[in-house]
Amino acid sequence: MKKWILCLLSLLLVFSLLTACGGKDAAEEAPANEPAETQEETEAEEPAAEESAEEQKEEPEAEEPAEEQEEEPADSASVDFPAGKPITLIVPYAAGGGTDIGNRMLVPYLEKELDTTITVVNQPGGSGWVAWNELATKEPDGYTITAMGSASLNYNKYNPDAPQELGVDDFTQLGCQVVDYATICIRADETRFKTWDEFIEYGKENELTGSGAGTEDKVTKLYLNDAFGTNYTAVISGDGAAGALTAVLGGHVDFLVSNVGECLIPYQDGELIPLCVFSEERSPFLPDVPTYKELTGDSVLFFSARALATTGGLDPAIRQVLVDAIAAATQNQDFVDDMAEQGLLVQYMTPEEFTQLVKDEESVVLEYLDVLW
Amino acid sequence: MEMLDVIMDGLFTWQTLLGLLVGVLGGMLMGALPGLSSTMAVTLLIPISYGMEPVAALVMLTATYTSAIFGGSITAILIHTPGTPSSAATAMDGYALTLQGRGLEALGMSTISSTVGGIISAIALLLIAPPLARMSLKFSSPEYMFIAIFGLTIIGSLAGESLLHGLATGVIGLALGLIGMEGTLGVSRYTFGVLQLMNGIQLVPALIGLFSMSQAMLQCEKLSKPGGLASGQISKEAAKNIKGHFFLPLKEYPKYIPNMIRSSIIGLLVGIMPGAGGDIGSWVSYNFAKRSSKHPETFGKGELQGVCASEAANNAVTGGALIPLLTLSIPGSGTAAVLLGGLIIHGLTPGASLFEKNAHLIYPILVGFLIANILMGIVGVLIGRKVVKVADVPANVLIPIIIVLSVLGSYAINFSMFDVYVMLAFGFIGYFLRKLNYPTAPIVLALILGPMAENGFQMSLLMAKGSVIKYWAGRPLCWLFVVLSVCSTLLPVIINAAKKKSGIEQAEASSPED
Repeated sequence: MKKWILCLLSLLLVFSLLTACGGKDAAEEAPANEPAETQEETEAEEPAAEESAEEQKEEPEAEEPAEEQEEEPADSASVDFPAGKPITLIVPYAAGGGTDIGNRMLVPYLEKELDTTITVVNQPGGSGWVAWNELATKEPDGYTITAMGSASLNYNKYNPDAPQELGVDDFTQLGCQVVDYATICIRADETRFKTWDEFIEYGKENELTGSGAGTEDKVTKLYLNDAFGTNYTAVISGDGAAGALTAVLGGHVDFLVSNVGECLIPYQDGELIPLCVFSEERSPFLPDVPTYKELTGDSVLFFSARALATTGGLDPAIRQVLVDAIAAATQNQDFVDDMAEQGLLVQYMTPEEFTQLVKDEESVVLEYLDVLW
Repeated sequence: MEMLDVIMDGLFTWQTLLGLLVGVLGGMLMGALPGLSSTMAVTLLIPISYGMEPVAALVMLTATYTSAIFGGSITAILIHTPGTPSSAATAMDGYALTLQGRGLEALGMSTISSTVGGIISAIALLLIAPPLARMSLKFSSPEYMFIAIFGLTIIGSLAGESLLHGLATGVIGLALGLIGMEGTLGVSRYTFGVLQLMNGIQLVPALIGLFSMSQAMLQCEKLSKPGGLASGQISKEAAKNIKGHFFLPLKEYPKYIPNMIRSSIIGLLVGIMPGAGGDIGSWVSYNFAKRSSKHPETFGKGELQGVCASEAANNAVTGGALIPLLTLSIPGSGTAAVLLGGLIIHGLTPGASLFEKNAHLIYPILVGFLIANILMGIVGVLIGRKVVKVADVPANVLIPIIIVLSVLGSYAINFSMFDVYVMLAFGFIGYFLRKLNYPTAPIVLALILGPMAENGFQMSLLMAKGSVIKYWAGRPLCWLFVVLSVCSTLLPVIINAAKKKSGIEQAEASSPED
């Protein structure tokens, strides 16, 4: 009997260790077993990842940190920021979603830039606001950063049932990595309309349903109804992007509003035809698909942008270190290629540019506020 | 033959075999612990998979998925703490069997049916994934709604002693399911401004509270009474029987085969649908098994068929959920959504091209998944006789462990204390309900299926473009589930009436068993 009790207790220990490893408080407890794991990882990873880098520029590798410091104004050189201490990256959405994948792909590059380990923690809830509100109360030390999505910032903020006081300015913005523009897609075997004009004309006469995964997709439809007098009904899928895609592929709704990243695979498989992209310029992944501006002359943008941020009032010197690292990691060609395979356009934006973009969109959202919720 | 070489090359490397082993053992362990659902198990292993070869990584992750679902049944059967939501249905009959000293039999049945369910789904995934994925597109919100309603019809019969008690807790569950932001319109209900409630009551903390925590509390109470059970929750006589049989006599099995295959197919189909995972699959097939049984009254009181149905189905869901994920890039369950991340990180973008461009990677992975299911069964057989002793651990040791695991498990989901409070609240609800002889399973069932039915209804209204009744009437699959639901509700009434006619003595003889 004793043996079994011991067994159970050791199970318990294993479990607590696992929890600790994944946890955000892992930093202090984890070292005991983490090296064993990470060693394995790096052993397998290093030859592949570093070979190419080393071949090209063996010397700069070592010199890079020094070079960067020289170029920067004195303030960032004066702090010894991560100093090897681990950083926690909070993804305020569920694991496996677009934001989660995008950030997990960025982490290895960011780790290299900052020369430290970064732990990703998923903390979903309240469309991101649970994690952000909690983060806002913390001491701004730069060791806890969070992913931020423009949709949560602009749409869920104004949910009358859970209005949020904080806004994009209340956090220290660290830079934007991806902008995923909205598209309107129809089924490849659709017979009623084939082109944008037919789609709009048909929508004026008939009621059409379009599926989407979130509130931001609803605004797109409201905007079109306003602009053309069409009868589009928004069907927001309770099952997220997957449900929205199934509904249109199965012919249960008439069209789909989604981001480029979400419709690229079905498009490549010949299942969907994108009619229009709500971006400034044509998406490099859908070079044949016109932008909304080309079609109508009206330059409105709908998108989902993903940035990184931390608690407001971060020491400018530390901020500069993070901003530089994120800029460098995001613009690393390997990362750009990785993301491109997922149909995600890496579009680096400085914190200032991202803030401006969010605010521009906010003004469109505010127009539709009374019909939105 | 060329394909065979490719599969062999990809599969029989040290890293892949190690990944397979880690996945099966780690998955079973994590699945068995309350709070660590299959989704969590896969999420925890994803970072480790980064550094591995794609085949090894994905074999490990898919093996984890299926083994975690099986692992969940072990604790569900032995100590009434389902390790994953998918095993909630197993807990009812499985734990009743343990109390009768037939825990080992239940474990054996769970091992066999999980393995069969997993293998059937793996074969379907390997051979007929594309047509099955096409078929999944026929299902949309209206069908989901009627499937959920069909699943809900079982509430009446989960009740055990009193139909009214079952319905009452079912309604409580439905009401709790209303909490949170409504899916299609974004209106918040009963959140009282609490941000954490926006996403609704999370299933896993509620489940841990209702099953594990309330169980621990009931045990505590027994322990504190004079002459309380010192050794675990099973009686002395039952403890002697615990040595029982893992395998049933061979001639018993034909009785279970139709149920096993039917449940596997149901699980496979439920798995293919996005937004419906192992939890739903196990309830729906449990409902089917009960309805088609000649002795429906034994379900919930220790019926091996119940364990068989629920376990075959929830493991069949795993392969089913991978079908739309790999062919259409649409994850068929929550865990499959996490796996999507794992695939993408290894450069395996799902879609039609996956089977052409990356055939040399994907086929070894699929065969690996098949082998994982077999290995899972072998491990289950090997450890069965050992783990069954958990049921015999003294309560004063077991209770603290269950409580610690419950708290840790609910905290670990989102690293949020709020979930721990939810778990504790449901622990108290479950404790008092069980004290008052109200079944807790209907709450879990309603919490899972209520939002699914409502979301399906709301979406149907939007999609109908006019009369929603006409819209439903034009969809044959809706009819199918309407007919099933009606039969499911009326049959017991008719059977009861017939029984009363044929003789009251018979009915009396069969009821006071428990």
